[in-house]
Amino acid sequence: MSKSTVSDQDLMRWLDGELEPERSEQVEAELDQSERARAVVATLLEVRAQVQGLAERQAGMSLADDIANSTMARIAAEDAAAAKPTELIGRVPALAANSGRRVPSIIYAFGGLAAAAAAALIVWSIGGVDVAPPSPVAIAAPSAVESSTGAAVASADVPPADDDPEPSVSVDAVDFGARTGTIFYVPADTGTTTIVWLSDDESGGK
Amino acid sequence: MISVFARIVGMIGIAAALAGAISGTALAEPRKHVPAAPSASAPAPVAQVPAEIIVLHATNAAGAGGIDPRIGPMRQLQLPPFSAYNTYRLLARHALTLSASQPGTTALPNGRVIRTVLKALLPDAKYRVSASISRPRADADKEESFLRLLEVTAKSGETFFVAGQSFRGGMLVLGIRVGAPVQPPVAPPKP
Repeated sequence: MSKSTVSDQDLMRWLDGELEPERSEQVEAELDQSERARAVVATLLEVRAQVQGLAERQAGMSLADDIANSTMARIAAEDAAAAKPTELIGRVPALAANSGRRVPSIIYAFGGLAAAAAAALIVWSIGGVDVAPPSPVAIAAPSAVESSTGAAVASADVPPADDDPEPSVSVDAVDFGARTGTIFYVPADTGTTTIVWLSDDESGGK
Repeated sequence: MISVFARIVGMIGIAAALAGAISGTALAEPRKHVPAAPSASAPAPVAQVPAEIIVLHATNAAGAGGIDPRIGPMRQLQLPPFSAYNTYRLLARHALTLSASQPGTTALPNGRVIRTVLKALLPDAKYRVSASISRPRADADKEESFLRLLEVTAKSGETFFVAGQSFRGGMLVLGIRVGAPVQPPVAPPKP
């Protein structure tokens, strides 16, 4: 098997129509005989189509898609860099064999899916969706928020009223100060009783 | 082609994540903290409303303990968290009239005072009431208030409790009722 005199760079220049007619005939003869040469040309065509398609899509996108647009542009830039002759020579065989870049591509796909999942979690946490509502009769632990005066104010959600009676007294706001406090909702004869229970470290009685 | 497809999937995922984050944040349900300030649509406060503050002393006595019959029917004293004490004795029963302009002040056995203010009369016979417990003015700077602020919306005649003040080996339990007392439902007689 004789060594080919047609390089990958020749193939790329042939695709671009930059070769002299005589050299172009040599390349075409090589393409007739060499499966590798055909694979290199096919890969170059694929890369060119991908870059061109991305550029067209980028041009057609609206301003609202700026973030995705810029990301696509980064990929296009990466592909353009991959099309440089010096890098292509080393990469084309791997591309043709469809093995060398598989892992990075999968990382792209899973990265996107992971970002979607992370964003969903963030939205849920920001939105305050109640995944696990408090038990209707159990202790309702207070949650601290900032009052207008800067003091810690705790407010407790009213127990869900699906199966239980509406609390007769609902706590709108409570400021425990430096003390520890808890709000209880306890069943009573006339519905649900509200109990505000604070700790008293100091000796209140004698 | 697999490479291109994988990249497109990745980009779609990122775009979906960003779009979801933006739209989800905008559409997310607000947190359910009840606002402390009354809404602009709250009706004007009423002139006067009867109220009652009962003062109970909770202790753990040797033996079975018991509940002072003067307290009346109050099943919740036998349930947690009140069941942590086995004895409840009525120390005082204060009848007062709440008004929006004049806070009610009631002295407690431990030297503190409870201040109650009628904030507003709400639809469906409900009242918005605030309460605070602290030392009298002369001692105000010597002690942190026991309860800086409690603001509740209460149905007329329903009692809510403020507990936890240490007192003579036990604890004070304050029951605050605004409006006329509510009688518990009576079961119909069996034939």
